[in-house]
Amino acid sequence: MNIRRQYSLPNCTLVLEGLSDMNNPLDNNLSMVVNVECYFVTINQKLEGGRAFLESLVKAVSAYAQECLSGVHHPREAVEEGDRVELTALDNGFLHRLTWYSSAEPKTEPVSLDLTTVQFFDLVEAVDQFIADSQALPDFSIKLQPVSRRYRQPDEPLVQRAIPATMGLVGIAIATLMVYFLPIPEVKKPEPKPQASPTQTAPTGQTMPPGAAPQPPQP
Amino acid sequence: MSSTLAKMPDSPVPVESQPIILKTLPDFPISGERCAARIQQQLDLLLLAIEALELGGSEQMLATIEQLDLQPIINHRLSLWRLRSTNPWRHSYNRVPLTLDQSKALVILASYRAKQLTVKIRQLLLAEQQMREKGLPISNNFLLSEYLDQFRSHFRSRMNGRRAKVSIYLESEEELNEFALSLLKQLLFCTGTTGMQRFWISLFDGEVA
Repeated sequence: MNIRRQYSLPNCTLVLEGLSDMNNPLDNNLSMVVNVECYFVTINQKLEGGRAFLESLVKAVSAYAQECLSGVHHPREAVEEGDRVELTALDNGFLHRLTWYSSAEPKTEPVSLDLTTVQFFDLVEAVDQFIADSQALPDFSIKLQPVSRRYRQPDEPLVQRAIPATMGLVGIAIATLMVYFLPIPEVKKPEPKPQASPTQTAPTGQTMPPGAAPQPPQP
Repeated sequence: MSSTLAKMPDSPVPVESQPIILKTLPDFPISGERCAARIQQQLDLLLLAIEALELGGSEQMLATIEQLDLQPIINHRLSLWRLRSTNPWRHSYNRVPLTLDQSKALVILASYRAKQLTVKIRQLLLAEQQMREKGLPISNNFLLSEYLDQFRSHFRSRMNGRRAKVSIYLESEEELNEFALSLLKQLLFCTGTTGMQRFWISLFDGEVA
């Protein structure tokens, strides 16, 4: 049986069309998706594809929504062939660029849509409503997880962290240069000293500690 | 059987039991001071943005706490203030870190309030977009200027200007306005079907092993 599920938000609509489970005629759940469409109210371009497109859309939208909330970049999975959706922030910080690489033949240029925050949020909400919908692809789920420490942005930008190291290197360079211009000290070889005359040691009986009074001879 | 029933205590709930609603959010370890400070700061600032959105915002928060049965964690006005004073940017910073349950309670509170304010948040963000498209200053819009004025006034009265980042915001009205708008965008994402979970998980981004 053909089944159509639609998630409508003020700016964005997500439509899933597919079939119910053939083995269970009483089941009205959408268990196999055939066609997925996503369109925005003010944008003429429609995004569409099959299950691969849906999976890619859900992953990209979910990860980018977390990025918008935390500001921490989420790593993307390795690029694969086929339908693919990517989301990036534009430089002005107010728009979000959705790029769709379609696998349809003949090959076409990727499609880019610039979404406002509210438009993007409506897309997130459509995706979240679809995931929460127990009657559409019950096997489909996405696990929200925080990203690991490895992807954390450093507290200080790279340029600032590089300043102490650079200052150190520059200091060493300047010191080396200054030392280079210093005159090389002349090396004076120590002159051999004339052989000192051997000292005569006085007989021990005649030596006296200083200040000691001469003893009168013993009788 | 009857004897066991007779022995059951009449008092409804043991004191230690936590609100069931907290279980809707997964547990993550709050690892280290940096993680704790980030969560505390973020939660208080979002609540500050909510206060700037509606008059009597703190009263509404207390009503929501009661409605969601969060009283075992936030039992009165003073305890809400204490929890919010864990934000290191505040004048009244109390250096007592939030527990996981307290953090969850504040996330739930912020998300529920944000949901109630969805229409206003969307109106403001649409107005911002229109002003940017026309190349006009954001504060020229009546709705936006009302929110931004409120936010700046709350921020000035409660945050400690001796903190480096706070002092930057206090010196530049434009930067503080942009900051208020960025909080508004975060609030928008909290209003969705899974907004509360998304917001909670985002607080631990870059903080887990």
